[in-house]
Formats: sequence, C-alpha cells, structure tokens
Amino acid sequence: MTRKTNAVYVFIGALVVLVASLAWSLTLLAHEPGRRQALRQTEARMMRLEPLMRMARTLDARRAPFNEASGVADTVAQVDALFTAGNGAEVRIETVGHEGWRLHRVSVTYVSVEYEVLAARIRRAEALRPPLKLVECVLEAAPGKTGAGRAGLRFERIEPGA
Amino acid sequence: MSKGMECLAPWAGEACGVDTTATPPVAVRAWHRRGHLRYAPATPEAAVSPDTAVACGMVPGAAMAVWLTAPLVSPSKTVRVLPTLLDMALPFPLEECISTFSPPECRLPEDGGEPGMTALAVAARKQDVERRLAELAAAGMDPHVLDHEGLALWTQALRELPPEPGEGPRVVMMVRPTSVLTAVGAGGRFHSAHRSAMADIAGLERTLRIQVHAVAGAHALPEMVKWIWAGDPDAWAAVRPRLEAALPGVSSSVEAPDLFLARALAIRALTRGPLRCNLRTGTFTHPQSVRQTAHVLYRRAAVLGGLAGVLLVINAFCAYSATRQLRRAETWFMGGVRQVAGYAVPARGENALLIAERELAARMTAESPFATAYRASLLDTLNGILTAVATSEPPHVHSLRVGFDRIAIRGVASRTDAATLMHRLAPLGYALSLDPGTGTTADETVPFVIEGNAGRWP
Repeated sequence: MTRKTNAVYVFIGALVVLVASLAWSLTLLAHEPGRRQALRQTEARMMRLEPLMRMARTLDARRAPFNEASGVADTVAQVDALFTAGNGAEVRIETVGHEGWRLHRVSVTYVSVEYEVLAARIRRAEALRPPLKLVECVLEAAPGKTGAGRAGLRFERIEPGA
Repeated sequence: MSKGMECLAPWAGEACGVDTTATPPVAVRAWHRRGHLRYAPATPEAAVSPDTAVACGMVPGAAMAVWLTAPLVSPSKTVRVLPTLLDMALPFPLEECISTFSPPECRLPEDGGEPGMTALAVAARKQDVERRLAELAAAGMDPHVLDHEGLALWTQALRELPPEPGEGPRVVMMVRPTSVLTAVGAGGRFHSAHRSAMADIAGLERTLRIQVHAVAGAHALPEMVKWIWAGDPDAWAAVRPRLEAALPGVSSSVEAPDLFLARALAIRALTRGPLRCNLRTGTFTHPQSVRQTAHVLYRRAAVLGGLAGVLLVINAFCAYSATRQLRRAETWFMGGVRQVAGYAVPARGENALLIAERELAARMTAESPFATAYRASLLDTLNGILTAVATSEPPHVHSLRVGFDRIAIRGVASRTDAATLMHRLAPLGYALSLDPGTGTTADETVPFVIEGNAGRWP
C-alpha cells in the first residue's frame, strides 16, 4: 500500500467520521421537537402530580401521631361501661382492619334518653384515649316529653395495629 | 488533464517553471503572497525547497494535444468513450501512452449538424516521457510537473492578453534561435500547437496558414490574426516580417518575452485554470508529489477529523444533557407517583398518573377517620342546634340528624318561624336550605325540613 493510498484511506475515514457526526447532529435535531414535547408532557404531568403529592403528605401528617401512639384500649369494655350499664342501650361494634391501624365503629341506640345524660356520656367518650369520636347523632323527640327522646349515636375510634 | 480548474501542484507553496528551449535554460519562480500571485526570474537550481514544485514542458512534437468529438450529449458517457476515440486518433497504441483529458463540453456544429461533446486530449508516449525525464535529469532537474508547452503558451497568453470580443484567430509565437513554438486558437479556445525548426520557415508558414484558416472558419477573416510574440526578441526578425505578411493582423508582444514559457509553466503549476495537464502521472509520478499529496491529504484528514471530533463532542453533550433532563423529570415524576400511590407503579406517563389519582382517592376514603379525628367535637354543633331550637318558639322539632358533613332538622312551624330558625342556625357553618312545606299563608303551621351540607373537609 503506497503512502498516498494510506493518506486517501485516512482522509476517507475522517470524511466518513465527519459525515457520521453530521448525520448524528441531524438526527438529534430531527428528534429535538419530539424530545421537547415529551419533556413538556412530563412537566405538565408533574404539575398535575404536585397537588396529589401535597395531599399525600397531608394524609401522612395526619396519620403520624396515630402511628406513634402506643397501647390498645378495650373498646368493648369501655363502651359497655359508658353506654350500656343500667340504661338498656343497644350497642353494636364493628372493627375494620387496615395496614398499620384499625377502626372501631361503635353504634349506640337509646329508645329513650335524656339529652343532658346523653351529652355527658358523649363528652366522656370523647375524653377517652384514644377517643371515641362522635361522627353522627340522630335525635327524635319523644311525644309529650321535653329534653328526652330516642337517640342514635355513631362513634369512631382509631387504634394502631393491623 | 486536470478536471475542472485545479492547479497541477496543489501541495506546493511555490513553483519554479523551467524553460529548456532557451540556451541556457531560464527559470521563473512563482508564489502567492497576500492573495496575489508573484513571480520573479530564478535559476533552475533554486528549486530546492521541499514545498517548491518544479515544472518543465513536453514540446508539442513529443506530446500531442488533440480535440476529440463524440456524438453524445451526456458528459459521463463521453468521458467513457474518450480513451477509445483517442486510441483511434493516435498513431501508436494507447497502452504505450500517458494521456489526460479535459472535461467534456457541449459543442454545437456551425454547419447545423448533430450536437456533440468535445474534449481536449493530451497524450505522450511513455518512452518519450522517459526520454524527456532523462534529458532533464542529465541537466540536473527532476520536475514534479511535466506540462504541455503549447497549452502553457496558450493559457498564459490568455492570462496576460485576454481576448477581445469578436477577436479572430490568435497565434502565440515562442521564437528561439533554433526553433519556433506556436499555439493556435480562436476566441479563447485552443486549437493546436506545433514546433518547427528555425531553418524551415516555409514549412512553418504553411502550417500556420492551414491552421489559421481551419481555426478562422466563420469567426473572422484570416486578415484579423492576432499575433502574440514571445521568446528571444533578436530571433523574431527572422520570422516575424514573413509570417505577418503571409497572415496579416495585429501584433503584440508580452512583457519579459524571454521568460514567457517559464512563467507560464510556473503559474500553471501553482494556480487553478483551464487546460491544465501533467504528463508525469502514473508510474512516472514524482515521489515528492506523492509525499506532498499524502501530506495534503493527511492535513485535510486532520482538519476533517478535528471537525468531526468537535461535532461528536457537541453531539454527545447535547444527547447526554437532553437524555439526562428527560430522565430527571421522569425520575422525579415516578418518585412522586410512588409517594402518592404508596408503591412502585409499573405504568408510565399518563397511566401512572391515573393510577396515582385512583390510589390517592381510595386512600382518602379509607383514611377519612383520621380527618374526622382532628375536627372539633360534634357535640358543640349539636348543642348549637339545640340552643337555636330552644330559643325558637313555637317551632316544634320532631327529629334532627347531625353529622360533620350534613345536618337535617324536621319539625312543624309556620314558614316565618322556620325561616327564623334557619337564620339562627347559619353560624354553624352549613349551607342551609329550607323546605317550608305547603302552607297557604305565612302564619299557617306546616311541616318543614332544614337541611345543610358542610361540603367535604379535606
């Protein structure tokens, strides 16, 4: 192989590399609009995701104190002591388990109860630890009576544990 | 023959043209300076610089220049048949020759015949080239370029004395004490070149008469011959009166006529232009030409390689940064989706977002007790309602339902009293509505329902 032939090969090689570089540049330029669009779409999705992330953080923050709480109360005994003893209330307790916590739903029904008594018991229930939180209350006036009647209460209690 | 307008020694920084028709040989050195071509007389031995190209000539008797015509309209096809046409025109086999061709050009015959392509072929027998190189070597010269002297005369005359519009036949005369070199053409187009001995003036006159008449054609009358004189001015006297008398016209002489051919050879070696040819090709190529050409190629390859390298680096950076930007955005997005959904979502893009939304909605529903746990006691709301009811006479409330999101109060009262009760309940924060029943007057006692929604507490 002569010196000139070598040089020609080197020159052609350099030319090929240059052409390949140019082709790569053109390819990059051709793909640029698509890349920009993909980036814009991702950014748009990120903007939509941000409020969801805030909400998720809020949910985490709400749960945090309950995760740190220790000890489990005897819900049945406490409810019996509060509502059932001596006044014939009908009590139903339903427990739903979730990952890391469980929820007790307590329904109390009085055929006839004085509102003053009822309010005092609700205050005591909500003062328990963890509290029995009143989430719904239905009162129906008893015919001919004042300050008493039929009552339906619904409480919720959150406890740590599976 | 060089295609297009390339110079014969592109690698050379300067060129030294040597005219061996003079005794002793004369030389001209040409070089570029600040974009201008410079030249100066030199000695043949001065060409020792490695980037100096030495150019000598082959006399027209040893190298022929002939126009070939092909009845074709395609230049590429014409290029393929030119060797065959030259082979037919040569008195010896083409294989024994060095030949080059000018790029084909379209030519319309003046007699209205078929159009065709023409090209100038320059050929010399290899043994003549060898002999010429041996002569030059004996004289201490090793030329890089072996040009055709007739073409050199012609193109240099065009360069120094450009043809005027409508100019007729032009004869360039290079007269030496023992020989005369002529180049004939018209309108800037080369026709033929000849070399004659000074002793045969009659033969020279006859040859020129034939050539000029052949060239003139319809261009101009033979009386309009343009004579250009170069060479040894002392030798002109022997031929000039007789030839100008035979073919009258206008005479001009070039500057530094003695150096005209040497100048032509040097300038043709160094500059671009038409009808360039180098008969020192193939096996006769000068080793330094090969080296220098290789150096030029290496330099160009280095420049191209450098450009390619820069481009590759830029491309790589752009590709990397583009990919990284997209990947970072995607990573951030998928991390957010994972945080919202609570697990690594296998989907991507819009689907991942929909899954995250769905999972968050399910989580919000499941964890609504946590939201309730932070709210004020519902007992406060109940007391507020009972207080409002107790201070409102005479509405009779039959039932009430109180929740964090909704309240409902049913009873019996006049529309006015029911509205008053609803007004008193307003501070509790529910969006209230009153269904006042179907009473005919404002004071008539009818069943009513007050309902309120608190909306969704986040």
